[in-house]
Amino acid sequence: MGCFCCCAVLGQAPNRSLSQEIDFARHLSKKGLHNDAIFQLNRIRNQYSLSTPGLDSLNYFTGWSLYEIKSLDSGVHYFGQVSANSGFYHEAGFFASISEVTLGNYGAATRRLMGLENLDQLSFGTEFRDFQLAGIALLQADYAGFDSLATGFTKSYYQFAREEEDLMNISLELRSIKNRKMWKAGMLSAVAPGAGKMYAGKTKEGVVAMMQVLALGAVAYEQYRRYGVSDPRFILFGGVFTVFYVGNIWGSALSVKIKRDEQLYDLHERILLDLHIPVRTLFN
Amino acid sequence: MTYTNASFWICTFLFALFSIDALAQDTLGWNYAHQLYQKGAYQSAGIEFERIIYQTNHPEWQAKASLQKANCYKQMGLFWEGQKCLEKVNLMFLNDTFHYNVHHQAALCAYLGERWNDAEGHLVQMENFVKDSNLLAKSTFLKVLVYNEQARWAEAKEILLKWAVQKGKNTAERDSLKALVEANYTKRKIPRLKNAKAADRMSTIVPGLGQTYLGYPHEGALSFLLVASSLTFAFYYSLWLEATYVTTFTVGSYFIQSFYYGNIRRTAFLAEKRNYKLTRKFNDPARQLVLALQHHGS
Repeated sequence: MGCFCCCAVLGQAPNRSLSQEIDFARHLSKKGLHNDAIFQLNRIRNQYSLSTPGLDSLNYFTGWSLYEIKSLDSGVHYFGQVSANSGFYHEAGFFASISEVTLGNYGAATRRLMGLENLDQLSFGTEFRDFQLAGIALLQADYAGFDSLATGFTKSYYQFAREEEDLMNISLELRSIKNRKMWKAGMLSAVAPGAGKMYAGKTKEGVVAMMQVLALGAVAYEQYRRYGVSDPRFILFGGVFTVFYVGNIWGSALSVKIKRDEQLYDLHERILLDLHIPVRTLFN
Repeated sequence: MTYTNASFWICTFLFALFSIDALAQDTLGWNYAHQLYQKGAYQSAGIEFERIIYQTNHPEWQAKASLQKANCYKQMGLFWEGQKCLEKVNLMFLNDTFHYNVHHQAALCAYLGERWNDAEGHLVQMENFVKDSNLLAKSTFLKVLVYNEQARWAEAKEILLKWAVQKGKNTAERDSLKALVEANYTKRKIPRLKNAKAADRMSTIVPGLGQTYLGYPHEGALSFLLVASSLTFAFYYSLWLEATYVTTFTVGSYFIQSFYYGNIRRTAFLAEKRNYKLTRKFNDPARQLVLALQHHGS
């Protein structure tokens, strides 16, 4: 009879405690099975009536898994749900902030950092928040804001001392980017095709453009000299030359903006990396 | 009476063993995971099998659960995940059967995910680690399928012929199986893949020749015409008739370069396309044959 009872319960969903379920979700996340972790965490949310600490853990781990699979906006939502009493509160706050920064929501990231409570509970708390805020200021080209925040960099926390140094260097590099004028590049290319691109900092492209336009100009001139201005062959090659000549002027003007965007992109990527690495080092 | 007593105790012992095993399974949630699998809830089942891997330190249970989890991935069409899951199994303390099952399933996942070299890698590992030839024989058909995809048709044929000799119950059946294999792997049927390097060289020397060799004569003719027209324009019309040297050099070199190098790039693409078509033309029916033979063998 006893054996019969044992067999009768075989195949039932086993009863497990909430902490067991959350530990297992953490295991899934640690193993890189983030989609499974999210699935498991949602199942816990639906099956258990959760207390605030339980819900905080659940929200933090859901946010973490979403962050890992690059669903940053959803991750931010769950990180934002972690209450101030939770042990995960500061982690969640910094991860939400860095996710907002990655998404380009600098204002939201700043508000999250400014709203973080009890930072004095962490030895590095205030300086780390200021470090993050300084990075965001640099991303927004707010050099005055960066300078005032950077005065607080002590470089005494090994977890982000190198990044503080790097942000200082990046701020100098950002300030040294020359403010070249689009109209000036266009004018230069009108006078000497390709010169505008060289002025913008794209020397090789400038040389290629110059050779193209000069070669087409030579063809058009040859056709003009041989057949005259009303000949269709001159009109054809003259037309091609004009398109390339005008296109080069337009392209030179644009290349100033493109070059500047490229430089900014590279530096912004470095800033993002510098902001990101310490968050993972400190809280992972 | 003594026999009756002995039988009673043996039955009781076996039943107790079964019950302990069943209870151990159920404690781990094995039956629940299976139920989910049978219901088609593959993601949930996969998570439950992962839970078993997490809960137990027993290598056998972990391997069993990993195999089941890989099945869940297979059902969801996530072959790469299935392969990765099996590649994490620690086979150090496990017997031949586990080595075989894990490598066979990993090779199958790799094959289904079209990673032929990975599949071959698992089959080679299996042959190195598994000593039981009966187990190895079970992977014959998978090996043939993998070799087919790797364009190693002669080796695939050899394996099938060997299998026919071993499996045929009598001379007549052996001969008929061998004839079936021979008929499907004749020299005429086995694709002769085009040499992409040769095609490239041909098109470099004579534009369009590579395309013609690959079986695209119209494209070859068009390539040849385009390059020839550019040359004619440059040397005959522009240079000879009109003596417009700058135009000849600029426009001629632009067109010749575009069409000539375009012809070479196109040849490389067509070589891949032709070889893919030839491979599929043979391998798709060959897969049906292999599956039919496997069915016959089982």
